[in-house]
Amino acid sequence: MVDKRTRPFRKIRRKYIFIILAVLSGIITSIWIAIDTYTGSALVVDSLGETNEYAFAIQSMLIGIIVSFLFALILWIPISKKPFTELAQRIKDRKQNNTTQKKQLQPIKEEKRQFSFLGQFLDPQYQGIRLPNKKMFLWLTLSGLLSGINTFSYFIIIKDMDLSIFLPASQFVVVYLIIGDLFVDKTKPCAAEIQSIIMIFLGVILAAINFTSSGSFNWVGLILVFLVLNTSAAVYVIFQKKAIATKFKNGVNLDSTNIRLWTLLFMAFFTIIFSLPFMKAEGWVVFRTTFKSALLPIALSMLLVYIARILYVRALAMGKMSIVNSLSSVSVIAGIPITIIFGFIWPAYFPMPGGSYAWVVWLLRGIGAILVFSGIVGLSMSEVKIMILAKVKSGMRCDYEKIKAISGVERVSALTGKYDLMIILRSRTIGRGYQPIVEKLEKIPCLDDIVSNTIMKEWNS
Amino acid sequence: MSANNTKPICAYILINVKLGFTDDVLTKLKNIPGITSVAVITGEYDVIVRLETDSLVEMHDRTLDIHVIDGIYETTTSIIQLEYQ
Repeated sequence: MVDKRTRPFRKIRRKYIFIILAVLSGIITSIWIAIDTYTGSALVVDSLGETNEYAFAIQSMLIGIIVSFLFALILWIPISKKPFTELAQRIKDRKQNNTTQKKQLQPIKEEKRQFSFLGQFLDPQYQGIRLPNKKMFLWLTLSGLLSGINTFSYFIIIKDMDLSIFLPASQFVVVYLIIGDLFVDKTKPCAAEIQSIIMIFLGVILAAINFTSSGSFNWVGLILVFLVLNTSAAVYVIFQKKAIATKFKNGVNLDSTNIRLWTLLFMAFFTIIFSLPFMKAEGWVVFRTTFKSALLPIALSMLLVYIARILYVRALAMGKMSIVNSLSSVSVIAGIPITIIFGFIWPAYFPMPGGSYAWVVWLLRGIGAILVFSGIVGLSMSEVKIMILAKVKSGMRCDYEKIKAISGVERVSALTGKYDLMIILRSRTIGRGYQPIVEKLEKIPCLDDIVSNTIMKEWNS
Repeated sequence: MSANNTKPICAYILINVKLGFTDDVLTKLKNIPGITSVAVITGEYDVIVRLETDSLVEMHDRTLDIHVIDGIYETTTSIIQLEYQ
């Protein structure tokens, strides 16, 4: 009989790990943005006390690269003898792989979890710093470019925009992702999607209302958030997902720590390229004089960014993008108490709404944040999972990769028994399942007798 | 297949349940070691479980555990040969 301790059961349910990862990523995000707001308005300033966002961007990127590489090296510390033997084996395997290259998709390799690097406590797939292959390199460069545009606009926006306004506004990326999906699938939005889009939009508008001395509404900041920050974030997420899905020849993906590290490298490169034309002589003075004082908060912020991104990428590898985004959007809610806490510590840099109507502003921000959060959560909660059982026509060879490439297909399993295939498909609504099943799967020539089973309730260990 | 094999043997077990027994069957299924997922579905079958074991012997033992659950009247075990995700 098999030793029960060796069975592949997880101590914590996969579902809970997934939720913890995504929510933690959201909370850490709101903290690092708050630290950035403080650093930008208190430390990286010129003689007149004005923030130099371009100097701040370059400082952050340079310090970010150093911090991230050091962190990745710390995570590489071996905690058993296994890494050295594995390294030797990997070199041996790579030599063998070069001679017998297989273009077919490799089956999933499930291995018993054994911590052998420090980093594996954070990311169980981490095997040290690895070079991406050509295809990964392409997706990571494109991710870096989009992330560079996003980061560049971020530094401009946070100069004038309150944290509790910025966080809900930055969640608008979910709306762009839905619209992108609609264009790709060539379908009309369903009721749940329209409802969520309206909730998110109204939430952002409510959260952005601010009664400043001039009674102004930060239109420029909001337009930048909507047109540049969110658009680039939406395309960035798509490229990141492609980088995550790309495999090495041995069928293994690049782990989330390495994905973040390489994305950061390209992101830093592009952010610096975008910032340089705006750096005048005064900018370099600010850069030099404030570098020492800003070093620690920037390093802390970049470390938090790195951790939040690893958690985000890990969550992305475990579940659907829309659910990860919805769970990490808890940052919208977290942004309010964090703004209040930082406002008490540094009131000069986190100005609170004043006057007798301050409570109205907080109420509107609170309602706005809740609307954004519920809009995103509502959208992900309407998601359905369909288990499709199919038979393969005799005398035909089935292309599993073609099935796996269908939008929404999460897993394809070749089975023994009455049915030959089990295809697990995720769809935002039951109606959305029509396109992948009727228009795509039914047209695959090798498939016969497709039976769709919608999951009403599911438990995972 | 040796007991020390690190790759688990996975199977989907498609189950038909007698009317009115679903809740009891689900509770008992969730207590069987090796079952990593239990789903109540619409269609030809009532419940699908995913079973992960270290050997075919253990797979056999676990399916026997499922067979003796009161309320289950038919099961179809499909072992996963290959999986892509």
